[in-house]
Amino acid sequence: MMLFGLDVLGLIGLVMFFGVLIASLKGWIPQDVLPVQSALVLTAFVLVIIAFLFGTPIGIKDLMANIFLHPITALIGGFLVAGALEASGAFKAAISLLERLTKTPLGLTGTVVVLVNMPTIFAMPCGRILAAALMPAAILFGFTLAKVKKDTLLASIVVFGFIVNAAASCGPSPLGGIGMIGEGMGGYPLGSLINAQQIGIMLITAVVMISVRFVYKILPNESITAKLLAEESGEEAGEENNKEESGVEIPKSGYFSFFFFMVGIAIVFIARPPIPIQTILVFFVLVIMLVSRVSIKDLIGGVILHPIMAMISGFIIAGALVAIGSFDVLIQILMVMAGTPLGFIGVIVILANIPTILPMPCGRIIAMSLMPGILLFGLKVSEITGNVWIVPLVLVGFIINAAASCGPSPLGGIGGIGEGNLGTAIGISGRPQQVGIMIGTGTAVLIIGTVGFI
Amino acid sequence: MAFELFTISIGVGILSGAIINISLGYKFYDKGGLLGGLVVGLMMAIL
Repeated sequence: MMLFGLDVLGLIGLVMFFGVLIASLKGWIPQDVLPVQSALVLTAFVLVIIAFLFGTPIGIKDLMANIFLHPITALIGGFLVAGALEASGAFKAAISLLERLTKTPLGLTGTVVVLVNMPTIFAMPCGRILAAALMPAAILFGFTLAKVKKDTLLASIVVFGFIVNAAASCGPSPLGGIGMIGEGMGGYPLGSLINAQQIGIMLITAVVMISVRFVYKILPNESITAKLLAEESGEEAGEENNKEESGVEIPKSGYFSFFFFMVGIAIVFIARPPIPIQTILVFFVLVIMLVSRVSIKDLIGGVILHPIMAMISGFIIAGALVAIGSFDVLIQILMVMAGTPLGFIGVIVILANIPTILPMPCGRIIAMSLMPGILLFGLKVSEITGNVWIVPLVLVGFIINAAASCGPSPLGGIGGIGEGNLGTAIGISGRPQQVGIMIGTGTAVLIIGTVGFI
Repeated sequence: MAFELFTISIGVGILSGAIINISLGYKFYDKGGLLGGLVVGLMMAIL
């Protein structure tokens, strides 16, 4: 059945998909009753029934056909490495190294620049890992700066810069990041989309920080500020005593794990060994386990179910949308839009920014759901324009945007971690993050468009 | 491609360092922020 030249079944699928996303964002679907991931899986099953009623039945096989195991296992491997690093004290070692860095020519500002970019340098498979692990450092440095410059706004600037960086860091992660899925689907070598994303994220972070300072001026809660400043003064007074009394010493194995991970990942990307990334990650885990005596329980403790479930729900709804022809309808609509003054570029800009326009609690939801459509549209535009770089260009823009979109999400996004720690209103950091992400998306696309894979 | 990668990464790193300098209430050319940006750009390019 056709409507304005569009397949009705495909159109219904598309309307239901975006309807569920918007309804979840607006709170019309209460998230404590039906989280967006569950709502999408439910939608997929409703689409199966509707397809049956339309006389084009789709089976469980069609739904599952889009579930790719490789990114799921890579993600789990990444979480195991993160769990091993956390348990071995590698993140505490990183904080300790940052504290020492303030005594170098970098000073406090230079250390803050390194700190806020640390999640993307480490690039864990989920930004929440480092957002939680390094948040004490962000708070500490933020309030130290606030005290030095007598301006509490600086604490928010540091915290939200760090938060958006953490949120976006799952895009370029070599440990099962969203970028890896784009590279796999597009048939590009491992790591080809990473550098453009990392460079884009550096700018996202800086833009968020400057917009919090001059435009959004998000001040931390007064009572929290007073408490933290008082605590810090106390710490300064008895710094030496505290170290001895508390006996909190970072084990040497923490420093080892930290450097082993950094050097190991660098070698993997320079040497590009013909070994699956999962095998390499398991090797990392085994070495850290042996050296730091990390238990299996610690490793399992590192696994975060939220992004895994987000990914699976994305895969399932994408499978349903592929089976009922929703992506064909999407391409038709996009091609009509490209015929307007928007042109192909305008449509690509809108498409790449959809994840931040509809920010989900995990970027993997929308990334997995729409990635096949993005790829198909890129191929179509590439065919028409003869520009082979269109596909990676659209992919990198969409991926960095999707990865970062969990930062400004009001549905329990990473931004909430910063807002909670600073005692600000929930969702207040969304706007500056969205501004930064738009700039970073454009930058990543510009890099791929002008110099290709770097 | 390594030349382009290092140039762009370090360039953007220093630019973001300058922006962060301004955000934190320092002059854009403050040594700390620029050096921090340089380190970050370099680490991103290497890793």
